[in-house]
Amino acid sequence: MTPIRKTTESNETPARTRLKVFGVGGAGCNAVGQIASAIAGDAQHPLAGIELVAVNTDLQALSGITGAEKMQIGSAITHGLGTGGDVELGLRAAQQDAERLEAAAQNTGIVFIVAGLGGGTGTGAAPVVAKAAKEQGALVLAFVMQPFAFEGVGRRQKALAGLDQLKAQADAVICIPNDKLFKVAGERATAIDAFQRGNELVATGVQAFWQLLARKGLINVDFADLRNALGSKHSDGLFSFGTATGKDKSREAVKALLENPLFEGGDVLGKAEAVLISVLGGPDMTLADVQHAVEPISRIASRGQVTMGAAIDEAYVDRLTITVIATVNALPRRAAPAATPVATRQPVPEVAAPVTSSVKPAAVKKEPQAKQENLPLEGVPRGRFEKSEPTLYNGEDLDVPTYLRRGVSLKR
Amino acid sequence: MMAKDRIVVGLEVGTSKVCAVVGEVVDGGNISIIGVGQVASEGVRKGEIVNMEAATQNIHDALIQAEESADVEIRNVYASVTGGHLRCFNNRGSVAVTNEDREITEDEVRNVMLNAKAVNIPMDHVVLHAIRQRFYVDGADGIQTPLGMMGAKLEADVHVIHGVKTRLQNTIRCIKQVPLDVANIAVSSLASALAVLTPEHRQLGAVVIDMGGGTTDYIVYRDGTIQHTGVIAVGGDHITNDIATGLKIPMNRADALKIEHGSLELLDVDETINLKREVGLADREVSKQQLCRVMNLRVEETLNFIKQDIDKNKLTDYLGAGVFITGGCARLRGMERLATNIFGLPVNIGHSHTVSGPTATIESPEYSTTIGLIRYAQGSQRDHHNAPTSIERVSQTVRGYFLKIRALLM
Repeated sequence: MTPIRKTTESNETPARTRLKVFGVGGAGCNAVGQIASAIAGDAQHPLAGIELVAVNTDLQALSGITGAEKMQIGSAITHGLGTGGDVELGLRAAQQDAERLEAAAQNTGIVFIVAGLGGGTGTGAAPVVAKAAKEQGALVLAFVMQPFAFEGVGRRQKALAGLDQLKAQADAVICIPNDKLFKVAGERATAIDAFQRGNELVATGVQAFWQLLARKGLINVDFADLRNALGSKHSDGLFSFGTATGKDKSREAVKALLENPLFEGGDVLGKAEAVLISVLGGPDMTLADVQHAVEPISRIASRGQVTMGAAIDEAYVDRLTITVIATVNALPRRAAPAATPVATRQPVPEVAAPVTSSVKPAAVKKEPQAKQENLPLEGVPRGRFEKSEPTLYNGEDLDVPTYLRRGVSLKR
Repeated sequence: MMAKDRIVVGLEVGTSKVCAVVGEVVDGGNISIIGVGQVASEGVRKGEIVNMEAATQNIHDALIQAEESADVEIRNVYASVTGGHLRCFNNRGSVAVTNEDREITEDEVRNVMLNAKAVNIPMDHVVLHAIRQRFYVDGADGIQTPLGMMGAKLEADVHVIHGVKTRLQNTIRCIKQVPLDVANIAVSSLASALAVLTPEHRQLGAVVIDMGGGTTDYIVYRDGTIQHTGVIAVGGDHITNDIATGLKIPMNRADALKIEHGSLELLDVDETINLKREVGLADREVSKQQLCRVMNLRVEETLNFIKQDIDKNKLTDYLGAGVFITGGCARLRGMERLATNIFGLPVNIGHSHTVSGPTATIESPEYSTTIGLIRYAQGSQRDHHNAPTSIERVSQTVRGYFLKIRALLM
């Protein structure tokens, strides 16, 4: 259910919770650049102290970024130019500089990879960056922006292929379909605004994790919890947040979160197999606030494993932000990607092999048992309401019988 | 001509039934029911029409029945509308009183109402009702009629109910295809409240919950005015569907089981219900405990949603007259006790008051909406002013089309 941990006066252990953000490709570098410029003018910024790396093949694009470590990859292949949308080129460029990437990811607890999929460098190089970081023992979380529908089928297919590659390498991939940015930003938003909103979203996601792990917590989530919730699941990650102020802020924030188009009206939560809730409030935040914020979400997400954390930020007086990252088991829409996910699993320490194991070999043999998958929520009968518009209320589909949603078993 | 005006027909195109009630306004404003027509509804899901053809046929049949039983010719009807798409909010409008002597005239009242109704609603929505709540003159609270008062600033609170225009038009269009005129439309919860509540109840504060076949409509009165309304697209159909899924029996059996054996009270001791053999269906035994469990969960959840909504709007402390439950689901066994536990307020199973006629019709909670429509008609005829009525706002674009159709038919 909900593992709640008491604060163990967390003194930040730099290596384990050290966080690095890699922006890969044009879109990724832009996002990183924006985070950098936001931090630069503001020592109190929640992300202050974060390490940023901009990775690109295009030297000219890199030169426009300040406040981040710059890393040009594949100079022998592209000669400082872009990849021109060639994924293969992006992949080779990154592989050529794999050692430098590994060095950059050394001694880092968490690596965020920010990339726009559909282009050459972002799509091709991001999986390589993920692999490099993973080999250094970091938890790798990728935030990827998927192309707009109007960018064409070709780009979309490239993005999907890239996503599969990335999923095989990273611990969790959080997708932000650019089309949904329209809904966030509104029809009238300018193109610059819309992209900026995308970058902001990424920054918020990174920030949420960072705060979750590094800040003084009312209820601390530690690294193991995070790995537990997101580690090696190779699922689709979705992300939403809500902020509210005022008396009823926790309820309002939940409402905003569920209404956020990125979360498709909260439906996602019902299907999630792991949910990470992060509540951030000011010093005036009460435990009741936290409860009101977390309770409705964990109720909807009752199918999955819910992990929560609550943190305090001095600047957040009378304000509350809830960020939820949900991992949804990807439907078996295609064969597993070539790289086996199991290979990246954390190695089990071999010293632990007990002497008694030789006595009962039968018990050990059980290990490779196939895990039974849960059926997707669509399988729940809607009966009479099959063809009608679902009745959504706070993210729940009320057409589904209450006893099913509440998990009440009717024993025969 | 006078006599004709006093005959009004309320029509509800509901999820489980299409029902027309013919009422006559007798002296003293009381209503006498002189005819009823009712058929099972086939073209409606969750309060909204999904099959125009079937719905039109049902309306036609119900009205023929009503005409026969009342021995009148029905030309126009007052219709109720509902649906999960309806939304509401309260808004305040304000105008400056600019004439020299600072007297508030009808102009100011009209302008302040217009100002209060000028609200931002989604593009595809239309205002169904804009109900005045109270006026303020220079900030002074609780004024019922500001006409003739002196002041510099006039404000008005209104309760606005709006919904998706095309979906509201479906009901109107269906009735017009019969063909019949729609005199006006009203949201179901408002109509039910008019039937169930007395003016004293409204003044004390009350919530009316109309739990019908496809939707649960509710309305909150405080200090005599409408303070809040809502629709949850969950009704008796959902209960039946839950039973059918939970006990693995067909829908029609689930429905019969709900009515015959169903209860919202949780049982400590289990009983077995034998389902009698029907053609093509094997003998089955089901557990009454499970049946009640499934029903209880659904109704409790729905009532809790309403309770939460009322709490959120901070209206719980103003419900002196308590909770009135009406609609078909009000007849479920144990409803009163369950609702009392949830709301912690006096609960009444509501049926219509101050009407006379066949008692079977008046005392059944499922007729509240239709009878309320007659009362609504009475009201909308009395204070008829130049503002567009609900029906005019909703049917603006289709009006020309229907006029043409009617011309062709005549």
